[in-house]
Amino acid sequence: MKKMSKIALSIITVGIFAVGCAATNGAVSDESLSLRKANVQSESAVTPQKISYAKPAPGEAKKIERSYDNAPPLIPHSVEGLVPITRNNNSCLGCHMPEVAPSVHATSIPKSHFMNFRPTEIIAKNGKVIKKGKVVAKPNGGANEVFATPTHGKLYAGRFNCTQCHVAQSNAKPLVGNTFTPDYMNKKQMNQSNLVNTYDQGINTVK
Amino acid sequence: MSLSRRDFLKSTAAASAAAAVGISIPDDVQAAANATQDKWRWDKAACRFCGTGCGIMLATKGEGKNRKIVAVKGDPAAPVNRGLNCIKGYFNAKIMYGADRLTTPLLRMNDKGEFDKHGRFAPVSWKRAFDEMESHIRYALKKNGPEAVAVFGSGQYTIMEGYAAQKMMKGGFRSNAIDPNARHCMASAVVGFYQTFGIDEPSGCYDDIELTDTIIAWGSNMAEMHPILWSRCTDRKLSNPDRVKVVSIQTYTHRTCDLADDTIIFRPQTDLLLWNYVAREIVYNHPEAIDWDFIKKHIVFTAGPVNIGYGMRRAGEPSLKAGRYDAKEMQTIKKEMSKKVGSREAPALAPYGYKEGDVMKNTGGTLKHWHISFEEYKKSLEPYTLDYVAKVAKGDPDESLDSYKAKLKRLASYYVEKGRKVVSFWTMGMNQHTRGTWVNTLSYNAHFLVNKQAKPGNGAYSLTGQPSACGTAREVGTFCHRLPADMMVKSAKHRKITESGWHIPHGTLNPVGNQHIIKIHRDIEDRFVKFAWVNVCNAYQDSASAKHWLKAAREIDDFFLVTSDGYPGISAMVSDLVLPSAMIYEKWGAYGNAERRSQHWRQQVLPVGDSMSDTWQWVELSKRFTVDDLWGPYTLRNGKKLADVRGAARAMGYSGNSTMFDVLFANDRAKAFKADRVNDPIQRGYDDSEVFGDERNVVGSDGKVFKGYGFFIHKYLWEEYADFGRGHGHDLAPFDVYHRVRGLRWPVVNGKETLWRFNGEYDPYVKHYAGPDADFAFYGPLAKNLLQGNLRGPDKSLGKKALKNKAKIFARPYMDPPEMPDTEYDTWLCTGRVLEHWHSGTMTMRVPELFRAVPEALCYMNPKDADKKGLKRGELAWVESRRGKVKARVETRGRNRPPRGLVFIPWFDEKILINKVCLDATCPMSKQTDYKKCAVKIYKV
Repeated sequence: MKKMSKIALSIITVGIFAVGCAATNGAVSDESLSLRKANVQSESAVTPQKISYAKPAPGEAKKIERSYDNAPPLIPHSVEGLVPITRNNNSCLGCHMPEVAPSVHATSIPKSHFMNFRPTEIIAKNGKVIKKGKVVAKPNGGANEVFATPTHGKLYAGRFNCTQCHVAQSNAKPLVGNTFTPDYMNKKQMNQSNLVNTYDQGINTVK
Repeated sequence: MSLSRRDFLKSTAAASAAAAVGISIPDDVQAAANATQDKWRWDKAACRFCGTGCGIMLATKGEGKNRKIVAVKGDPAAPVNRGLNCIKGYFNAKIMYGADRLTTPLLRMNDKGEFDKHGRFAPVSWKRAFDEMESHIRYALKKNGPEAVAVFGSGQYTIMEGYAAQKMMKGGFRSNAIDPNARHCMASAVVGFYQTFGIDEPSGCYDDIELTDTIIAWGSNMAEMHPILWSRCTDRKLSNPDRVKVVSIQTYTHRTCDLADDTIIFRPQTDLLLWNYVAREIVYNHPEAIDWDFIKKHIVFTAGPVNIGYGMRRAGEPSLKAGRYDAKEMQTIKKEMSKKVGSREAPALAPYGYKEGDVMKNTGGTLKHWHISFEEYKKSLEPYTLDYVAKVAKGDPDESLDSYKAKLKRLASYYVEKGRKVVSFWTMGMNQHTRGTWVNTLSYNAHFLVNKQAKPGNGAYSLTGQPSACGTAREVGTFCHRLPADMMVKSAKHRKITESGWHIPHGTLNPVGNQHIIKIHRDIEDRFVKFAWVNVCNAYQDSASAKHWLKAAREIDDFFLVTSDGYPGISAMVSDLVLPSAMIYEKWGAYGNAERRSQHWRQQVLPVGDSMSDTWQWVELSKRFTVDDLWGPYTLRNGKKLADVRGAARAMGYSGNSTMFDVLFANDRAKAFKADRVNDPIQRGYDDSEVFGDERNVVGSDGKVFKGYGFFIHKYLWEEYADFGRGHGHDLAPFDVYHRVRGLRWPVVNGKETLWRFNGEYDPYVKHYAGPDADFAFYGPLAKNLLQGNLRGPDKSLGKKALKNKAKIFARPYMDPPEMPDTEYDTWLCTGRVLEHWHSGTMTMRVPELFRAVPEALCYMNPKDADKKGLKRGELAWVESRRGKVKARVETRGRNRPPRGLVFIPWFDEKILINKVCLDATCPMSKQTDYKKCAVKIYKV
């Protein structure tokens, strides 16, 4: 990670330098404006970088710091052989379920994933659609309800497709820096989630 | 209270450690930890990306221009996503913070500071930028009239931006040459809706997912393209795995198939066969499943011409005459004019009077259709036997015919089974299709026959690709042929309604709207369009046959191209002027998603550098043109005249010197929407750079610091636009309401949203149009009075028959696409998106986490094909069509697993401009490009 941020920083510097040039010398080429960095009319000069994905096996990788407070963690280890996730086989759960995770040094699936924020919907005998679930809040005076029903140790099935939020990382060098600065509520949040306690913070948006 | 960083870290660590072991800690230490959060401001917004329309919560921190986004979470109150986002959604946090944000206008100039088409980009003021735009627009208008001024619009425009752009283009410049990238994404769905229901957008809503028993994905990789909807599908499937069936019908295996009970791999284009097979099974083999009461009351049968071509260039067009297309390209293009009926399509075309080897003379696409009898419809289905369909449609050469037939029978059985609810989802697979309109209408056939449409848990459901393809492109009508709320430019009545709504003279609006997005590219190449502006899209990366458009942009000396964007992408590279746009959460806005849900947000932070919103850019441009400049007489290129309406304008109280700003944007109605950050709970505490200016003191289009319009322009644009739909089925709620709720699904009648349209139990308009006893009414007003005939054509002597409140079942055959693999170009190419990137990657490639997750576009290939071509995983290969070639790395073990004979290459990567390879053939009715199939050869670099 340290290495990554160094690279990112140097790219930011190059970026600032390029813009600086534009301001002083007054002109930049279209190639230098783009991520492509090559003439757009020809393909001969474009060669994609050779990349590879994180090699360490599960359990041997160093955790990657969260991108911001309660951001979904990135996958630091190799996923070769672990994907695809199919309806009959989700290898991620083998190590990351809370009852197993500590013993194999895996990040434990947090409590937020054992909550269902979606009401159950059914069609009643009279044909009306009804919603069932535990209402915990009515933001902005009640037009929308917030539901939160514990799933009692069973992963909420809407979170079954782990790779829709958690992605593996390659060694590719970012083409341009990013100036986003996270603001963790506390240092522990760099490596954990407390969303189960904070999901409803700020939901009253009109004061 | 002030704490040093060291103290802070100590205190927060102590607080969380203490909490972990359950001990109490001194109050002042706890307060310090909470103070961090207190400096955060959470507010709601819509996600920037796909058509799902998830609600997000954004945390910002800091003051003035130092206020920045620090965190994002799924909005637990948002009914679409209930607290969950996908990886792109979470990284909304970072998309505005790429280090190379455009911060100032850039103009190509020579050393003397003059505009030079061949110059390099140098920073200029906003004033200079608008001076250049103004002079090039004046040149274009003078040279070729209003049709020579064009805009590449967007399904990512906020509703207000799209409305402002549309108003200035159509009302001001009198040009209908504004068309969104949404043309590339759901135009076929729209024509399908118009033809079937007479009105745009889905009958159902996302609640269908929780209520259905069967989820069928037709050519849609929902797991990657609509991840949160797929999360809902997954929840539904895993919560009741035996009852709920999932079928994935695709041209290659991918993540959506990983949840499926059955995966049906079909040869590209043969979804037309599969839908007709399902209908034939119902009509011929399970007639008991047909709900005749429903059909007789609510449905008519219809047909249209089949010799409609493929939306390619037609003989006689200037660039064909000028030889800008070479012999290889012409091999495909000549099929636009005529084609030989092939062996695969011949059986399907037999009921229409064609046999194998016949020459079919194509006339350009037409929307014409006419009544036929049920018997004629039944006749059209006769060819689609299991044997014929399985033989032609089986897409994986390594699968057995028996296995395939068994899957097809199971598929049909789900539609047939009484009491089984079925939702059929699709997006680009069925829309980006040279028979896209046809295949869209075929989907409703199967559902209508068994009365499984417009009911909870039942329905054919078109998902949309972009966050506001529905809200802006379709509902506002930023298409060349449309006006707000499903009105059409060619209808004199609709033009008049719009002119009244805009308070402009009758006769101002141009009745000719034919410059769809590919036509704009072609008109530029034909040396006709002289000014074009790219808004909130990337028209030079996203359009097929891209080599032609990239070349035209740079080689035509008197053509001026402007791109407004947050970052410099491919379109900026080939532009003459680049404008820095405020990005999504740097402005107020609203989007409309694929379940008719409109969602608003407030400006969260100030824009970067001197960037300003696209709304502002349009409104500032409007100050440069007066009534006398724009509203004189014109002769259009087809010979039609636009009237001189300057006199009428004067009669309305405008003067010849009234600017379009005075007329269209800063009129009396607009000024009644008060700017008030003190008393208005919606505006209070929030920036509004257009209304108040801001502390950056951006020097504006007149060379003076921009201090704001002084009225609440976003609310004005919303309310004026919304008035067009209120009272006839498109009702939107008042502006303020949307800031209190997590979106509402229109029509919103008496404050209540509508979940299932056309269904009397849920949609108040059913009773309004069809009386108190109506159970259904398909009340859309378009094409509701038709000639009568048979599969081969209408018989004018029978006269017209009305079909008020009825929907249509169309007879539509399988036909081959214009380009198929042959001995030289032996492989199908399909392009599309990936989960981690949005469209052309302009935003997501600048988020390091997303970039590293998927840093480049790979060529997904079957391992046996790679072996045969001597290619190894990770090696570079040329992928070449008749139009162009690109280099990409071969992937044989990735998430996308094509059968032999097909490759998939996504289009997000600037370095792999796959659209140079793709063909700009379109559905001739919807004008939507088919990105899903052309023929390529692949060989080692």
